[in-house]
Parts: sequence; C-alpha cells; structure tokens
Amino acid sequence: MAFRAAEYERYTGPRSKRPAWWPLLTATLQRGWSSRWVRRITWISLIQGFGLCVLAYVLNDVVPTWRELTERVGEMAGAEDEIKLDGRVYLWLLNMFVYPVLLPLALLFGYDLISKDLETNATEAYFARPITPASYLLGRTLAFVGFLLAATLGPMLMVWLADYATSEAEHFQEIAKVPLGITLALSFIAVVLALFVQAVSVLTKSGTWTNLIFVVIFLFGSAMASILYNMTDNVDMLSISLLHNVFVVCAYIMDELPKRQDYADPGVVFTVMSGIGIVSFMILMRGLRRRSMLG
Amino acid sequence: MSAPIIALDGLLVRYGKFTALHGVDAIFSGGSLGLLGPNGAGKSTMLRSILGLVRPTAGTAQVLGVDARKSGTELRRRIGYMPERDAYIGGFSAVRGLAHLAEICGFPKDDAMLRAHDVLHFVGLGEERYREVSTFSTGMRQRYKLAAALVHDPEVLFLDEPTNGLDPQSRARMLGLIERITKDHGLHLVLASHLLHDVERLCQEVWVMEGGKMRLSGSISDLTAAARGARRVTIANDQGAAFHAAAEAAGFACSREGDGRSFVVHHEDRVVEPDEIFRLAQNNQMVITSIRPAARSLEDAFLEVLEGE
Repeated sequence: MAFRAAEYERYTGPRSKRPAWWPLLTATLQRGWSSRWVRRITWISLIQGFGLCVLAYVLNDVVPTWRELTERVGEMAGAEDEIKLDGRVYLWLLNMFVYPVLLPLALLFGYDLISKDLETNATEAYFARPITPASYLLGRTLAFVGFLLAATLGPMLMVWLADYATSEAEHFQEIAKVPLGITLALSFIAVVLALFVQAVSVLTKSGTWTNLIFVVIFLFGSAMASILYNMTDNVDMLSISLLHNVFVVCAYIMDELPKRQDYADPGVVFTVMSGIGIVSFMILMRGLRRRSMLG
Repeated sequence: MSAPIIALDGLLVRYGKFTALHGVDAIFSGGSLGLLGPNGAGKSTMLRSILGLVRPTAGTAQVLGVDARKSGTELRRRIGYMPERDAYIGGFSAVRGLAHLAEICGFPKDDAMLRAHDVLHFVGLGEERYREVSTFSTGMRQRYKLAAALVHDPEVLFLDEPTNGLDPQSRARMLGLIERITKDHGLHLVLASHLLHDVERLCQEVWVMEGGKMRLSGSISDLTAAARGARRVTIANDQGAAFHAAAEAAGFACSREGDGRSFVVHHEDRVVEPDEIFRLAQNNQMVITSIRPAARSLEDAFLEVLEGE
C-alpha cells in the first residue's frame, strides 16, 4: 500500500495469529510509562533496590562480618523477636518496597484505565473487533500487574540476588524460599489490587472519584481494622486492612508468619482478598457488558 | 449461487421480559442495504446480533456464511462497524489509535501504522492525524469513525447513522466517501439511518423494521415504483377543485399535490387504468395534460409501512 494514498485500497499483507489482548497489553504498558509519576515511582523503587544491592557489596568488602554485627546490634537494642538476617528480612523490606509504592502506583496507573475507555466509548470500538470483554480485561490487568510487580517485586528480587551473592553458602538455605514465595504473594496481591482499582473506576466512571474512594478504603480500612480489633478483641477484624493483608499473604506464602498473635488468620485473609478479587472481576465484566451494550 | 452476505433465520432477542427482535427472517445477498425504522425499532439490536455482540435468544444470524453467535469474534475480523456514538481511544493520536485497532485485528505493527496513515488520508484527515480525537469537530469525528471501521479492511461495512450531526457539506462528503468504498471497491454496506435520502442514495435494498419486527424488505426500485396502480394526473388550469370532486364522486381516492393541478388518484381494491381517468375527464369536460404511473419516494413507502396501510 502506497504511503499517503488518497484512494482506498484493499489490504493484502499478512495477518498475525497473535492473541487480541497482546496489543492491548503493550499499549497499556506504553500508556502507563508515558505518565511522569508512574515512571518516577517505578524508577525510585528500582533505584532503591539497586542502592541496597550496592550497599550489600560495599559492606561485604569493608565489614565482612556485617551480618553478625547487625544481628547483635538488634539483640542489644532489645528487639522482641530474635534478629536474624534470614527470610524475615524480606518481610521488613515490604515497608520499603511495597507499602509506600502500592497505593500511589495503583492509583496513578489504574485510576482511569477503564473509566476513560468507557467515557470515550473506546470499549465499543474494541468490542466491534475480535476481542471479548475477558480478553480486554486480561490485556489491561496484565499490564497493570506488570507495573505493580516491576516496582515492588523487581527491587526485592534485586536485593535477594545481592544477598545471595554476598553471603556464605549456608545462608542460601535461609533465603531459598524467598524468590518464589515473594513472587507468588506479590502477584496475588497485584492481581487483586489491579482488579479492585479497575472495578472502582468502572463503578464511578471517574478517575477523581476512583482515587478518592480508593484512598478512603485503603486508609480508612487500616484505621477501622485497628479500632474494631481493639473493640471486639477479634484478631480477624484486622483483615479489613489491605496493608495488613499484604503482610499476612507474603509472610504466609514465604512461611515466615511471626508467632505473635496480632495477625488475622491467613485463611480469613486469603478469603477476604480472594473475595475482593472475585467481586471486582464480576463488577468489571458486568460493567463492561452493560456500558458497551453487549448482550 | 454464492452464499448470502447476511441470513437471519427466526432471530429472536429478548432482554429480560422485553423482546427486542421477534423472530426476524431476512436475507441480504450483497451490495448495499439500508436498515430503516423509528427509534426502538430494533435496528441497533439487529446490528449487534449480526456482529455477534448480542446473543440471540433463538434463531440464527449468519454473516458471510459464518454463524455470528458461534464465531462472532472471528467474524469481527471481517466486519467493519461504525457506531452511532463517538468511540475513540482517549490519550492516543488519531493515527496511533487506528493503528492500535488494526493490531487488534491481527495486523503486524508496521503494517497497522502504515494502514492507519493511509485510511486517515483517504477520509480526509491526513493533516490532522497526529491530533487527539477528543479535539476533533463533529464532522472530523464521524470521518474518524469511518476510518476506524475501514482500517482492518473489512468485507462488510456496518454504518450506524454515519451522517448524524453533519452540516450539508460534510454530509455530502461523507456520502461520497461511502459511495466510493462500496461502488469502487466492492465492500458490502449495511447502513442504518433515519435519513431516507441517504439510504435512497447509497442503497439498493432496504429493510424496514418496527417494534422488533421486519415490516418490509425489498429493493428500493421496487418500493418506489408505481404505488399499487395509482396514477399521477395533471390537469389544465382552474379545474383542480372540479377534478378532485369528480374523482371522489366516482369512487377514487384523490390527493392533491404541489400547485393544485396534480393529483395522485388511486383505488383501494384495484389498479387505476388510464382509460378510466380519460373517461372521467371527458364526462366532466376537463383537459388532462399528463397521466403517468405515480411513483412514490422511499419516504412514502416507509411511512406507508409504518402507518400500516
């Protein structure tokens, strides 16, 4: 076909057998990356991870016994649990790489992912092509999950690699289950969160309202969880808090759940998180079908 | 004989208790088809059933020999649909959005971009292709939607009110584009429109729907041909009132048109023969200047069907 043809011409080139959600996935990744704040948060997170890797190497060179020293300092400081640089360290790293990143990144990336398509009727243009609502959702959600994992799991795995590379051989036994565990846990959390944010955006049809509602649920849920726990003395009330659930999911899958009693039962936490994911998925499918007038 | 482009067999669509389509049977053999009907007639439901977007309660819709219910996704690679409402991908330039849609239809990335450029040039948006569609005027958005329906090179084009909201110049341009695509490139066209002139200009066949039922289907030339044997009679000056009275007295139905000298004369039960008119004029000493079969416009036919005549 000639470039700048002013006359209509039939297309005679090849057509690929690639699934229809693939272009949607790549376009969503590009769209996310074009957001300055999404880029900043992702880079900051990755740079932090890289910084810890460098620190581990430097400490290993300068103070080869830094691990033992750290454990001793922790004991001297009167820590409740025994301080040991094993798999539990990675639960502490959630404070650095997951909790501060999850909320802003989920909002900045996902707040208008589907609501904008509904606003401009892009879904109608999509569904008039060989793509189903489920494929559409798959493309969007995979990209969303990809970004969340790049900014949370990415630096954690970098740190794990540095930890493994700079430690004694026997240390590997202590951290061997971390990569798979943290990957599974964060993937589960990222899928639930991605579905949840998108479901809220389908319900509100507005990016601003999605942000507000999500922030309220995120923060209010944490506050309410503590209040209800104190009022009822039922530890499972803590499962209202998303951040608490993130910790329990990660700790449980990594088999590092602390022995303290102030954590909701993992069964309850998984039920709550799975419920959020399933209900969000149903809201999304129903919203897409109704708003795009599919029958 | 080749398979029909669209074959509907007892197509029944229900939304809860509401029946949107009442077991429609129809065949479109190819060319260009106009889908007419008042609001709520079931046109959009029919289009969506044909596209495989709405699952029929009963019956089948076959397009290009493919069952729309079973293979709707595959079918939509071969169909171009221009929705009535604005539909574009926010945050993308026109050309990026079209290339993205072509990629979803299986175009390789480079081919998709090239094709998007070409189609935008074809619809006259070449100079505006790097602008976001949200900044386009109504006319430009309509042309963008046409480009989006064409970008994956479909075999059948479904256009839902393509000239909605356009000024006369833009409308003429849009109709010209559609005419070129269908006549010069052999794309089959299904046009849903309220504007009967658009349908009359672009289509060879028409389906008239009302209340979810197919009220009429046929070629436009047949529909606009002589209306049940009626005659259009023109008489000499000053004899209009007298002719009208005489015709009605003789048992004809007579309606006056235009300047008062032309009448459409018809009979409820039979064809009106020219000799009868001549005799009537002779008996009443009137002069007839012309007598010919009364052709009717598509609008007449459409209204006649809807009024249940």
